[in-house]
Amino acid sequence: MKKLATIGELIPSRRELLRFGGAGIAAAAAQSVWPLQLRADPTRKTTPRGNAKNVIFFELAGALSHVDSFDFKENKATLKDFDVRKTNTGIYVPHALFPRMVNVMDKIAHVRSFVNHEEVHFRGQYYVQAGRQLNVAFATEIPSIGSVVASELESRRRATDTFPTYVSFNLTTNQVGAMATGFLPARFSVFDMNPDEALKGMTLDQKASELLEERWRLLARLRELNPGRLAGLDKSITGFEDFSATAKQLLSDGRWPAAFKIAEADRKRYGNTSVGLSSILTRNLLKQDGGTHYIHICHNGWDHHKEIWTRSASSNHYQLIAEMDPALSSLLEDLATTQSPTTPGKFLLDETLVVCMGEFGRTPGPLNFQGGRDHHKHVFPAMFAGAGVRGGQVHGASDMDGVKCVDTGWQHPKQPRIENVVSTIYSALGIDWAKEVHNTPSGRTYVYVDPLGANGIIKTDELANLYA
Amino acid sequence: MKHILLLSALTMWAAEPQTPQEDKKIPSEAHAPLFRPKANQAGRLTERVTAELPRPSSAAATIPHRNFIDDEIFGKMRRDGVPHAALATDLEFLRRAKLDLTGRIPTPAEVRDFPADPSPNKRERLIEQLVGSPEFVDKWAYFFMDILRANGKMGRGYQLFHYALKESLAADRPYDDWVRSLIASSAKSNYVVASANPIAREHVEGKPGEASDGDDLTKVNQIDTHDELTILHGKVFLGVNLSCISCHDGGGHLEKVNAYLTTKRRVDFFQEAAFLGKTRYIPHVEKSAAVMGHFYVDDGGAGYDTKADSMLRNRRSGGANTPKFILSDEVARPGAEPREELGRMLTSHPQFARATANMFWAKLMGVGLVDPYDEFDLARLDPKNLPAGWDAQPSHPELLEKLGDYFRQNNHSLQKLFKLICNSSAYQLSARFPGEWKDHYTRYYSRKLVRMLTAEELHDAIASATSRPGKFVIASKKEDGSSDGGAAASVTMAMQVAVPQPRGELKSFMAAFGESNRGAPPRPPSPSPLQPIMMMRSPVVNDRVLAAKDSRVQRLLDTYADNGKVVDELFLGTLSRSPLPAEKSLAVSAMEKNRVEGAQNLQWALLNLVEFLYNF
Repeated sequence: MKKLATIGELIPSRRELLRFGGAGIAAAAAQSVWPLQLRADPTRKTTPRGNAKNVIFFELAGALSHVDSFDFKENKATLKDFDVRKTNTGIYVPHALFPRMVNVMDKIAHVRSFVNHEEVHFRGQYYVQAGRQLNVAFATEIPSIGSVVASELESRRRATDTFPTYVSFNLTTNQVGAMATGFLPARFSVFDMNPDEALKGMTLDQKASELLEERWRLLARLRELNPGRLAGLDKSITGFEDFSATAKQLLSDGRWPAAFKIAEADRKRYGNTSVGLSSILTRNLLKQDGGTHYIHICHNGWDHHKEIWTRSASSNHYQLIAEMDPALSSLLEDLATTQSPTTPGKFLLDETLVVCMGEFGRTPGPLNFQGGRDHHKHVFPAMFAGAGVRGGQVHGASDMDGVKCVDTGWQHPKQPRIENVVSTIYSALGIDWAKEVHNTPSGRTYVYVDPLGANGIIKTDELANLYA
Repeated sequence: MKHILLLSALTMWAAEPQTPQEDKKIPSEAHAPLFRPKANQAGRLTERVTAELPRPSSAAATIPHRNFIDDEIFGKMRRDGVPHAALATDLEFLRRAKLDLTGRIPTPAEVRDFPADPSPNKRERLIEQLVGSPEFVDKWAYFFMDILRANGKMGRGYQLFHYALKESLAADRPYDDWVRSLIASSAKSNYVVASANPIAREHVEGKPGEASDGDDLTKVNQIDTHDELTILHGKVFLGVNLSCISCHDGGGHLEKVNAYLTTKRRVDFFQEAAFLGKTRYIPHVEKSAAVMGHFYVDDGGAGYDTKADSMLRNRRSGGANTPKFILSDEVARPGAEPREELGRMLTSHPQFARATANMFWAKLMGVGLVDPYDEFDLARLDPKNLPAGWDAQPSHPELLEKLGDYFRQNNHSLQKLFKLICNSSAYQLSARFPGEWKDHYTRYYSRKLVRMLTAEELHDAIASATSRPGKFVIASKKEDGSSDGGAAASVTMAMQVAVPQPRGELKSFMAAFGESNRGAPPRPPSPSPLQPIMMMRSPVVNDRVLAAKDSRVQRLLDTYADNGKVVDELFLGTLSRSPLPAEKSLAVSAMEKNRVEGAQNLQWALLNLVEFLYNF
């Protein structure tokens, strides 16, 4: 440990300035370890593709009914007004429910063969965020996928990057909330926003900007004039001042407030809902190219155990789909037509992997006694787009009723799992997903994608078919 | 002036020659993680520290020993030659005690009066006054709501539960009695019987059957609920994490994690859960629909099925289902109600008092004698009788026993426990350490450990400093399960709220500062760049610094023509101290051009100084 010296120590070095959050904060997280002792497992060779610069995880928290959407199965509960027809990519989709999504099917590859071993939301949503089953004994040291990505991409941050690597929208609305960074230092934490609040808080007009500058100058002078105020106190406090400087730098970078300016036309096209705004902001953040590369959008509320098709119910399928349909479709459309900020001739979608899924499916067949659908883990779909994913494809299949998997859709006889989605994400970002961390607080090895799942050894391959 | 002296002293130490960087290898004991097997090296620390020979503090002789805590804490530091900080100043103590005990910052009047009070026992008097006060009750009710994860899964019952918690805290109801009721309550409705709410809270939704009326037990997975409650009892009441053995035996799994639990098998967990085996969690059915959250709880069930499948865990592996208390192997007396037996055995076991005392010690001192406080390894408590290859788990084994004994002998009075700890000189040490800090000093408590304010404390501190109270609506669920939108009532402080806010700017602010969503177990706030952004941009701060009617800023401007006086008061009310001369002249000059805007900006800057966000 360095001698507790003067405030000179608080000034980040050049190298440290490139980090998000600055120096000194490493020790501030409850139980972080840094640097990590990383080791590759020589027996498990991965070849990361590195075909994406960004990943968007669009989580349908609460679980979408697969048989009423993208793995459509006619059943007793199918309503006449669904207008089920084939899209131009040849799959059956209820056009009345997804008037916009049907237009972007050419960009989307469907994988219809996922299985989960979790069938309750808390554990399921944890699984989606952490990329592994919840092990309560070690939960406090486990980082989220986004935080791992942030730590991996830190070395790629440019001097001009001021945005947090890992941003999320509405993660606090799901049952797990926004996960802490576990064994990773706090500077890799998620930057979770409520879009409505962020639109108010992150945009600064000329006046607000000047006021902030004036106040900041006063604050900085007060800090200088009483250098002894933190003398002898724990370094977590000085570390917090680094975060404060990072935050100010972010607010003062014109690109950040610019990302939070949205046109009324966009607001309308994306649906003017919380998830719609999240999607616009996602597009904007990537467009500004300020260092954000992993964005988790949480669209919560799909848990329709009762009255799933009752339009007057306080929450129902029509309503949730009406939120999701314009949001996700507009996002894909815009990414496909927005020039890449770094690669001439390419579009954002070319370098952004988009994943959309819930934590499981819902019971197929007739509705339950409450007019709803319950949890169904045995087979459920996910959608992938961008970063070279071949759109218009369907991989894997469920049976006639959407109860069981009949085709795993990849090279293995067992169904793919969320772990394989995580491998796909890491691979796309050029991260070796077999990597192991050995200096965890518990001493238990953390594998980026752990082959030891809850049900024994599982395959950790990425979903390579997506690109075929 | 004190600060300037400190700084020059600091510079002096920095000039000393570097000592070998030995302590790099020593893990940060302050941040001792879950289950670090041998890192809690209370025994080994002794050797290391002695070898490094830090200077004994000259302050040692002047620290009074106020109770047995000080004998243990300062005795150990003296034996091991570990230096410690001096006693906290009156102002440091005032702000700390108020935040720790009530979650509030001191008022300007308190900041003025407390240091001026010549009475030698004024600290003791302050503690006496704070413990049991309405603000104390609010803060610790919030704490219990957090650790028992009170939320909508209690249906409308959470309001009643919150009320009952506050009553129990205010009356200093013996904690063992209170816990027995939480374990053994039966209820026609948890909307009527407060103590049934933690039971209702833990219900695991089952896969509903097709029955459309009456007692459909399938809507709750009964046995999984037994397991969840058993884990809750272990963690919160006994400080023991039974989660691991809820899925598999301890042997072959936990050798590096917990020596005690390696001796326990999954069937031992089943037998512990079997005390609840006959308990039934029956959702009320209204208009043919189950109201999840509204429960009838009785003990008419068939008993724990050790072979039943589980929705949360791997299939149960069979074995005995007779109730047997996991810590003592005591079995239920024939004819006695099993849950009452569990309550009796659990609360009379020494680990109950030990774990409870340690939990509150951890809350007040920053780190538990066993840390985390819900990860006890019961095989490693006695340093004279340790399993091979292990060190003792508690940093101060004898103190831990004495605290547990004290709590039990004092009728499980939480209030007495709080007073005991806060009155010790150990609690009253300064957070400023004069000299080179080494991470392993943390477990010696050789200075007061700092902590960031919780989201609730921070909100309330901002509200207090600015005299701009919040408005938290207390939404209730109506009979049909929908929300009444908070028509009934509202409170002004975050600490008074029964459940976290669902949405809005407050939610964003509170979430950024680690407000528990009561889904996952609570976690300490951890720093993130979102937090300073909230402090700079959230209306929770920015609206409050405005010189609005009734705001502190406006009142000060109206009361004092002298800007220097306004500055003094803003410092007192926000940072609980007076400004240094340099700070004051800067602040006064900032008000010269426009005193209203200047005062607003100063209020903003003071709230944004990092020391406002921390308790130290």
